[in-house]
Amino acid sequence: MQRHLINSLFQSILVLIGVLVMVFFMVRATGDPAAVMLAREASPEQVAAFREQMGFNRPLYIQFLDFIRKALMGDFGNSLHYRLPALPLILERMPYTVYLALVALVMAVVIALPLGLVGGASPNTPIDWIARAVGLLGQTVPPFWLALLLIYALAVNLRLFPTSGSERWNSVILPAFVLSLGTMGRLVRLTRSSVLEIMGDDYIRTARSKGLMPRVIFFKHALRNAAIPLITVIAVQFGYMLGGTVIIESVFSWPGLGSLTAESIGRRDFPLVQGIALFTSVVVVLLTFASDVLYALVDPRVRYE
Amino acid sequence: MPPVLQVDNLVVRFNTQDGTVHAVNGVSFEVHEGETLAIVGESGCGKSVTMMSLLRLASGRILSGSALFNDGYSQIDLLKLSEPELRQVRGGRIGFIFQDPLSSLNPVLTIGEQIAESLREHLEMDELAAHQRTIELLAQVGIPDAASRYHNYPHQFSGGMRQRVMIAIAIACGPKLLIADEPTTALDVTIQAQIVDLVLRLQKELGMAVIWITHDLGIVAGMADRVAVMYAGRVAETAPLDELYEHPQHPYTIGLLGALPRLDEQKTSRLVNIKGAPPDLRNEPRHCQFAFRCGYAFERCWAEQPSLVQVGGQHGAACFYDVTQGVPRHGV
Amino acid sequence: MSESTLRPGSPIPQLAPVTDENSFAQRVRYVLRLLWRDKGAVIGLLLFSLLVFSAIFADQLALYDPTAQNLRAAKQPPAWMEGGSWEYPLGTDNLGRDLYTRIIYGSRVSLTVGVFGTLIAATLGLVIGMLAGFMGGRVDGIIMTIVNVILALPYLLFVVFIAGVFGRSLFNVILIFGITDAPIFVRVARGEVLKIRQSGYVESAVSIGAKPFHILVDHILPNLIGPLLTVATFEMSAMIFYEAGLSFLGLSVPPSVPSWGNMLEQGRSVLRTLPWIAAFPGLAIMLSSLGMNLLGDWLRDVLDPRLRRARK
Repeated sequence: MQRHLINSLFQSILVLIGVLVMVFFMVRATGDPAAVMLAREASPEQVAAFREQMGFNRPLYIQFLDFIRKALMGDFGNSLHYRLPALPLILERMPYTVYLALVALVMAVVIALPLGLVGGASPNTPIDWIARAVGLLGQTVPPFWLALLLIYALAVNLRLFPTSGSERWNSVILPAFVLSLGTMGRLVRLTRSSVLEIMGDDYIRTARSKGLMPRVIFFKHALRNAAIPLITVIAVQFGYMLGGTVIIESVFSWPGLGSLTAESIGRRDFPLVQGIALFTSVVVVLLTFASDVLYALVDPRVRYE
Repeated sequence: MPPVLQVDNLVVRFNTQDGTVHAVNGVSFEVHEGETLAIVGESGCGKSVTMMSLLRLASGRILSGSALFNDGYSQIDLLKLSEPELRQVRGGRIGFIFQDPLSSLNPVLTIGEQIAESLREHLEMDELAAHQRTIELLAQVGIPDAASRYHNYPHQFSGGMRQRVMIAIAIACGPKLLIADEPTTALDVTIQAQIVDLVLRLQKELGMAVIWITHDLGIVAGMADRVAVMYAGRVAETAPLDELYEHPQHPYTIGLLGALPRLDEQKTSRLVNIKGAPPDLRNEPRHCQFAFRCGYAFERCWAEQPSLVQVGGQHGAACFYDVTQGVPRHGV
Repeated sequence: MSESTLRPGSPIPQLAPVTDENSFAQRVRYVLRLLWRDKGAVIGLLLFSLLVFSAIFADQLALYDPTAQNLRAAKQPPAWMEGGSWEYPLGTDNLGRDLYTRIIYGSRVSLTVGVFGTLIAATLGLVIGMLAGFMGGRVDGIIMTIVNVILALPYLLFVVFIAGVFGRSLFNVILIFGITDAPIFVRVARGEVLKIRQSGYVESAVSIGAKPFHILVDHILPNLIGPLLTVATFEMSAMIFYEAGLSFLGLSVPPSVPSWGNMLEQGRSVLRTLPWIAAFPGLAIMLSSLGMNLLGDWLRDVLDPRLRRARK
């Protein structure tokens, strides 16, 4: 197990470095970050002054080292629009996104897992068809379209939910549901195919040859094997959701990091976007590592090498 | 004494995307108490399917036949049991060993648990008693340090050890019949010998009948009392071990034995090869399925399927041709 | 099966029917039969054909010029609703542009992004993946690390970021998708190459003197096409999705070009009063995505090793 964990840690560090490099270079990708960040109407003198002020004239490696140094100390740069340090702004809106993603995750898991399990256990039954339909729809229905439809149908016409914002307790339901779809679809498909495959495995045949009851075979033998890889998948999907809220939060005016990103892109406030990208990536990497650790603890094949 | 298991005219079909596969076409054999029956045949001849169908572990349709199981308490037809009754027989009265011990054991449960659950299910032992008994069983199958290895997982064992665990699972409840489906095929030769010895020893200790499925004639020679040779879903020949090896009557058996390299052979003599390939089981057999490859086939072989006829004491062969005399058999 | 009389020593007749006939017509018929068996795949193929057809024959299928404004006909609902007419079957937007026409033309953007983005990603992925799988060692290690880093990043966030930096254009979007999606193809290609290397017949080929390039082309490449095609259909579906998302945020084509994402964004502001403006483009996105997903599912089911044997 130690070897697995050290490997995982090493991978995570590599990815973190990669993230730093990517985020750093993204703003400088066109060659002139100052021109990118300023409004189009800015005069060449303004751009030059800005470039000097932000330190874009220094050699690239110095900029990079400075970038890392500051990041480690929690200085993610300053927002051009708000004229405030980026990190506090991010931390202020982060809880909203985390909350949204969590609710979405719960929705996805609660619906997808039982559907996939039952569907996989009894293929070609009506429940299985529902499972496969959910799996397909989850991946093909455009979330932003569904968001608009739901807002129109449920919020505007039926007035069941608020159309936007986060004031009421049920404000989170619609955006979370829309966000959960992709994960829901993927989870149903994965669970279903996992169960299908496992039920055909040799050790299930052995369990049957022992005369065990079908209930025992399914829950004790099959399920445990199906559940283990799901840990990783759920963690990865949660990471996707954390990073994939840009459009949904915009549509629902949910005050999280996603809408902040959309607004900032519109305002060309790239230092802030950079900060958000860095922050979110770090969180995702940490999440992935945590799920790796959990996996190592739960799967006996890894735990006892 | 009635035989422990008497199978009569078993027919099993599989419905697949490519058509109906006639996997088992009228198989009959029997095993007596304390006896070891080896079922031999090449891949695809239906030996595994036959055995698994007895306990309905395969997904084929059982069209007809009977499988009378006699374990000293009662006589039942396995093929007519309801699902709950069948579950009692599985593991409890008939034990099964599979070919690949790595894939046949659940990787996320301890081996002790996989044995103990059988005890709890069939012998209604409580946890403590089952735990104790499992440790005894592990020792009985030759696993050292049984008490601590109870808590190990399958991947922590070597191939031979894993197969011993499977054997422990199979005999845990003291079954009267043990069916072993190619248990040594995936193992090293030296380990093979150990497993064979283990099974024979357990057989004596527990007074079981053993059905051993294999394609390895060498193993058969080392442990079987009787042999049944299968081809294309039917029994081609069945006889006591020595009788079969010395006086094979079915052309297929002759071919199989001729294909074996022998230590006392001349270096210059060539291995006999049975020409051709096994028939496509998607076609319903209406004549002898070996006729394609048989050097002795004549008109009758293409007209009807031969049934097992007695060709000696305890010796049956499903063939219209008498190889020893060199003419078609009379009165068949 | 002939039932001739045999004597000992006479030749043995043909045995099991030969199933591996290689004639082209036979194979085509086989594939068609497989396709028909899976009704979902038929639907998928239909939807995909619809998409391609719309894109290619947009000029013929459209009723008007997609950018033509007719303020007198503005804000009309679809034909079957009150106030609508069959002149503008799906209604008009607040500038009087015909929705049906714009949706037809929108398919061009989506298909272009999907096809070219996937082409670039698949080609890049194929080459890099084969390189990594074939050369192994440090080259493989470096490539896979980069791939893992890219795949570990929150996708939407970074795509939006890059698109924002580079500015709004279809070309940029295609390039971005092509590059950011390549890692998936790298993984698939490399995986297949490794599988084939382990299976030993590359060694056999080498041992009889085949040159590495020939091994690559003759042995490895044909086996890659299947999995790559399957992944490609799913990725194309995803690209259409994401392009619409970028359009929605104003990061893809300029607002004058009709794209489904653009239209959705325009529909958002008038959702209460003119809901059809948002409804139909979204439906188009979904149907295209659905079609490709169904095709991808079918491809995956069909391209398992069983079929590969029948092909070769």
